[in-house]
Amino acid sequence: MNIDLSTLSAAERLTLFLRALYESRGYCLFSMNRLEEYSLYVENMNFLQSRDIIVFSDLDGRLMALKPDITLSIAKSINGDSASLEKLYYHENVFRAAPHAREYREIPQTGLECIGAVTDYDLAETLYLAQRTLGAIDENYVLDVSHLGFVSAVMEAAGADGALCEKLLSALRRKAPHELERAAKKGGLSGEASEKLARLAAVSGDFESTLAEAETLCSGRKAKAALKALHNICAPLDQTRLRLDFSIVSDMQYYNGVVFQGYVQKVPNPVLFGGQYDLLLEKMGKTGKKAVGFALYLDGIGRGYGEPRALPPRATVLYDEGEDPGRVFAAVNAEAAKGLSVRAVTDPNDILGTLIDIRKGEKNA
Amino acid sequence: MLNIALPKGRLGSTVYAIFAAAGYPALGMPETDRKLVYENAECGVKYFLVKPSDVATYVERGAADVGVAGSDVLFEQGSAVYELMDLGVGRCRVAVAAKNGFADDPSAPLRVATKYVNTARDYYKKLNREIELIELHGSIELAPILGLSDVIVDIVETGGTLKENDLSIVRVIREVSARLIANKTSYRFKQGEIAALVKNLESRGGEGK
Repeated sequence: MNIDLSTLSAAERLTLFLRALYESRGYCLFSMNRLEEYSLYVENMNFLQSRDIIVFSDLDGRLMALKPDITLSIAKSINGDSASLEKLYYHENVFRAAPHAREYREIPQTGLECIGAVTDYDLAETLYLAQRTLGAIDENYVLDVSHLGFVSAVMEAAGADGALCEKLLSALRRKAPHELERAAKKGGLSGEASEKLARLAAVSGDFESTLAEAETLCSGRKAKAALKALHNICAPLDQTRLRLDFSIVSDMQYYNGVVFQGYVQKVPNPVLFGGQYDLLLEKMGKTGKKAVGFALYLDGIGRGYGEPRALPPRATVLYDEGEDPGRVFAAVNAEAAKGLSVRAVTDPNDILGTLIDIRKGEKNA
Repeated sequence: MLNIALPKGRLGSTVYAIFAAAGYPALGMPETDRKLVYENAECGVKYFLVKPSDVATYVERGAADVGVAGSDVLFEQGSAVYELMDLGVGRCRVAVAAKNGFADDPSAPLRVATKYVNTARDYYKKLNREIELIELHGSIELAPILGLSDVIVDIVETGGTLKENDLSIVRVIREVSARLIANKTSYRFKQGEIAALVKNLESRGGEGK
């Protein structure tokens, strides 16, 4: 079968490109059912971006959900006893509540998960694939990285824990230095610690110079080790499109190490989310395994980068109701072979494009 | 060019004065006529004047790169934007208020009239207090006077309107002030311009005023 790629939409071409890209790095396609047992989400609610889930009772009484997330299902499916490195990619739809609207949306998502004996090479390769993924949408992209080990080391050094830590992380996500400083002071932290936490929100920019700035914020062993690890992982990447930004704070019950988000110029919010989530596997009892992955949300991309698909010119075969189907087939096939998009109708008022009128055995333009 | 969404009205005028003093004036501002867009190509800014409660939407969806919105609106709408700076103006409080002498009856759901439904729901959920929300869009103070609600959750600036209507504050939920907000993608692709704006606003002493 020959497929004319020009007939595909931008999203379809992107999906094909990404499939080839991920398979070139040893990833296998992972297909799954759209349903998952609700209990998986109850046990890992904080892993999800939203608690709004479409739930229903299955015929056997089990509570089921339309998947709001893919990573949890893949992590669940991994054999905890296997020593092999699992490299899986997917193209699935997830069901989530739309922000600011009381309705659910079906969101197409493409992503990959690398689970098992994940090394620094695997982390670097995942970030590399994230960069290539974003670059396939728009060469003017940025990938922001952070390291949760560093963020938690800064919090620890400042003396913040428990509820105060949650408040500080919430302000950090919003890049609100004034809120960080206020919360820190209200929480009884020293002026110096409060000022450093406020600076953490503003540390953002090209990777190398921002890394040097980050080193001045915390000199503890744990913080140094986190920055060193981040440097090693990011060194092989395209530095021109790489940024360091500590406002990327995923849930620390599940995520650890490197976390990242991707942006393209024509979409007003991040389109790619990823990170290292060894703690999720540990929580699932799959100890000794590490994991990293990312998901690309395709719903916002269509608006920014969708292009009108070049539809083939249309034609209509007009025939009498009692006409021999074989004669209609022949007329339709003849026009379709010319590359036209052909419909066969009996109503003279339902003509689109070129008219092929076989009622009279004539062809009219 | 930095696209800036400013709130119309009194807060917008105050905020524009801060921006102008920081080196970002625009001819004709503030609001001399029905114009909604003002540009200063030399300074690299274009101002949009929008309804105060819509500023965060313009910024979140990328129609504006930055904007100024009240922290009450940001919390209520749960806007996914960066909150780069407290401009220190537009100070007020979101508070629970009731008729003078009000005593809560815990044996029945509390009737709460407000336009801040998410804020009120969040606040009473934390208190584990069952409520009946009544969404209103103006003259909220009337609700307890007419027996429509037991309490209101609303913005309180001086407390003058409450006093005149025989109402008083029961509890302050949060302090409010105007915040400089930024779109997440713009923050990446226009970081130089946004950082310069923050620096200039800070250096004219906007923060914490």
